[in-house]
Amino acid sequence: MIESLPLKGIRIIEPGQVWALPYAIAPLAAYGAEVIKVESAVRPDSSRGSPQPDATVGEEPWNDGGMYHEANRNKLGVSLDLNTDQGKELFKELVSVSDVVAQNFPPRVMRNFGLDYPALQKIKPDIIVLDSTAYGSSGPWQNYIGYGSSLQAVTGLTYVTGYEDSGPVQGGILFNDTLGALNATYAILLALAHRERTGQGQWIDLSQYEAGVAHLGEAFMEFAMNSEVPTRRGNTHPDHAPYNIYRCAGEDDWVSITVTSDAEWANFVRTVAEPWASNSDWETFEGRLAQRESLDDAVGKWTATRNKHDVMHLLQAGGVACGAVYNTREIATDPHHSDRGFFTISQHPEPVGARPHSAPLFGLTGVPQPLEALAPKFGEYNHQIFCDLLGKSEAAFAELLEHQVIADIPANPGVTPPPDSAGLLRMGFLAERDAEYKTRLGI
Amino acid sequence: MNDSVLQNIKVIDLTQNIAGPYCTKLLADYGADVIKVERPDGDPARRMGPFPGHEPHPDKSGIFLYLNTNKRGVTLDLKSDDGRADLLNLVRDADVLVESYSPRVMVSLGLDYQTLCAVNPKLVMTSVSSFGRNGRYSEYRATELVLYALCGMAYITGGYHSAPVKHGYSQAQYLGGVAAASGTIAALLGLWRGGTGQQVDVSILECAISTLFTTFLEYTYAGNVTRRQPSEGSSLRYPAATKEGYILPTPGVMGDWDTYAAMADVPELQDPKFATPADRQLHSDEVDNLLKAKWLEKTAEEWFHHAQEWRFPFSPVQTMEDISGSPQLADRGYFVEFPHPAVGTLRYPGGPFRMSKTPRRQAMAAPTLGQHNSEVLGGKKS
Repeated sequence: MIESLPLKGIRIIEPGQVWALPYAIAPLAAYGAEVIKVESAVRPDSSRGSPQPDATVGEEPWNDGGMYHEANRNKLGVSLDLNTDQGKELFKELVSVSDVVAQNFPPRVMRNFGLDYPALQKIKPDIIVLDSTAYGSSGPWQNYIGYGSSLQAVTGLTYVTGYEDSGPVQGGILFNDTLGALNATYAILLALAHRERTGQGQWIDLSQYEAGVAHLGEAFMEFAMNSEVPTRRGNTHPDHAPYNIYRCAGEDDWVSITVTSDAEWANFVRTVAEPWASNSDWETFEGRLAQRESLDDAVGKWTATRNKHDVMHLLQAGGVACGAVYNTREIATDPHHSDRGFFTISQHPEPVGARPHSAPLFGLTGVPQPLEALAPKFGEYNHQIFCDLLGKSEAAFAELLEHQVIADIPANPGVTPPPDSAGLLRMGFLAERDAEYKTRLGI
Repeated sequence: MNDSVLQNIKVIDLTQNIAGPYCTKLLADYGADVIKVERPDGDPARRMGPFPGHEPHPDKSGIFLYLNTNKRGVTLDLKSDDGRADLLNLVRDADVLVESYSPRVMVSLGLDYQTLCAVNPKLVMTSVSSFGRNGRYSEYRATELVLYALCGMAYITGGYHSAPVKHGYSQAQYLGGVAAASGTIAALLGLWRGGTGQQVDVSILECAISTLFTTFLEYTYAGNVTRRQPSEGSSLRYPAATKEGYILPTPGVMGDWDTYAAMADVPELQDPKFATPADRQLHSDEVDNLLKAKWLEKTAEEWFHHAQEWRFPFSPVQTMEDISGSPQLADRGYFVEFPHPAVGTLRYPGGPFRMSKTPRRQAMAAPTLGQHNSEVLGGKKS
């Protein structure tokens, strides 16, 4: 069903690093765009090496990292040293036959290479360029750097995350990279839509700082309307109770239960079917909010002796919003995701072997099966792109290799040794090391 | 009229609460003509705070005002024959319909994709729901907290001995909204490039799960199940108290440890016993104690600029007040201000990115309930 891929025939050049940009381009590749990932041998994509399969390091560890595999499926990959004049010329030749350039170096990098939007527009007037940066391409902080974790703090998310009586809490180190990625995908699609309708390209300046603040709209409005600084409230909701996470039977097992209307409370009382729940004070939301703490205690007493999965399915069957607190093993093996085909298994060369990867986050029902090719090995498509696409001769290709403008293997793989899982487990960083994980995943 | 990307694209918006309205806000802010169809008592977001002076009013909800800019608003009872007929009339010349009900609702209203296609064969229909259109949980109920539990983010967030905790506010919902907007444009591109209309399916849960990587890949590549982290040996990954405010003292991958120690002006940390990450883990108490005392010598803002000069990606833990006064955001003209008949002129967050040729428009405030009934529905419902 290649004909039904909406982005077929669009070529994207991606000098992208780690997650925030490569993951933005992944769905475009899955839906048919030809994506050429451009990496330097001296500083390859630092996601290439992690995590290593089974925490063992093979002969080409830079080709074995799971994060790299996940964000770079369906792409072609070349190596190119943009510090050389020849490298810059080849990049410009690529741009001259492409539709989009998407990159996430700090603003000064492409400027210093002479490969920023004004330069590229001269080569290809209708080119679309997306610069994804921590703080934007202008302003006093434009040269400051930030990772997903940094962005979580600076966008205001960390400050409003945590318990009522705790300091601010960080959650999930890559959270804001994914947030930035989803916004970058949308920005590129919008620019492609404009080009489809008018033939015009343009420049997109994406500041992950600004994208993150846009996702805290109601928190900002609280300050804008009332000059009040929003702070932490744990898992509770200002308008609803019970609305919390409760301990279940088992070690570190928990369940979320959220009742957001009087009708749902009636569902809860009927489903639980125990005398303690039939408290007339709790029939209205005013009553439940006024007695939030005693209500939370009562609900928590009920969940404490029960299995979290049983509570979830029992309450959901009775019409109450409820979800077990899942760990990564439970997500990877949940049958709902199998029903939807969210994870599909790809066969990588050894030592990686079969691994599940996730589908694009927007499903297009007219595309029965998005593409599922493996992420490119380092420099894998050098010959195809430089000789077949750009028409370089075999002799010229050999010279590029010899002068290290291009390379077959990274000069600086940047693969850090895998962490000592047994040590991490002993120190409490892991809940478990699942020896049976491959069997559970069917790989 | 406007010169934004999506000018002349007509979107019928049946969404409510947060994820769906954020999707259609992204379409409207970039130029689409979005007609928001509310039930007669209004989008439930009209009853969510914040409100000016904390006094609830259906036209004054801060979240509703933010999520519904640049849309026209009408009210229809889709359960009535008249309401359904009015909606089909609107769909007839629309390009897109976006809805955020659980999957069975559009079917029960007699407004499933096949029915809508019979009226408008080129229609792109975007459905954004908690669990997606199919799968065994598709009719399960969810809230932001339930999604945070099921997406795995809660399990790894919070104190080691405390309950798992979610991110503040509605992060999963916003991510679902952005993915739905992307799906909508991808489907329009497919149509314009020789394809047909189609339905777009977004699961907010899947969007939330996507924020876990590499934590998730640690399981599928190595069988490691990550949990909430012990505080020992973690101080570089968590907010540290300073003389004023908190700083996130991220070491990053650019600079080496000796440079980090020099930047922080703690020469004791250059001792060989702290050389590798494993060494620092082993001596985490000493590392933490040396740095914790050091951070208290400057304010978060001072540490931020100091560390960035050394090219370390430090960041201050900002409050909404800090963000409102941010010199970076002010320099870039991020915040926008415009009047609304019920709440007057307010400041709002700006767009997630800048487009050089097709800037985001920000002229029109969110509709009051039924504001555009006569204009859009031909005077029948004024």
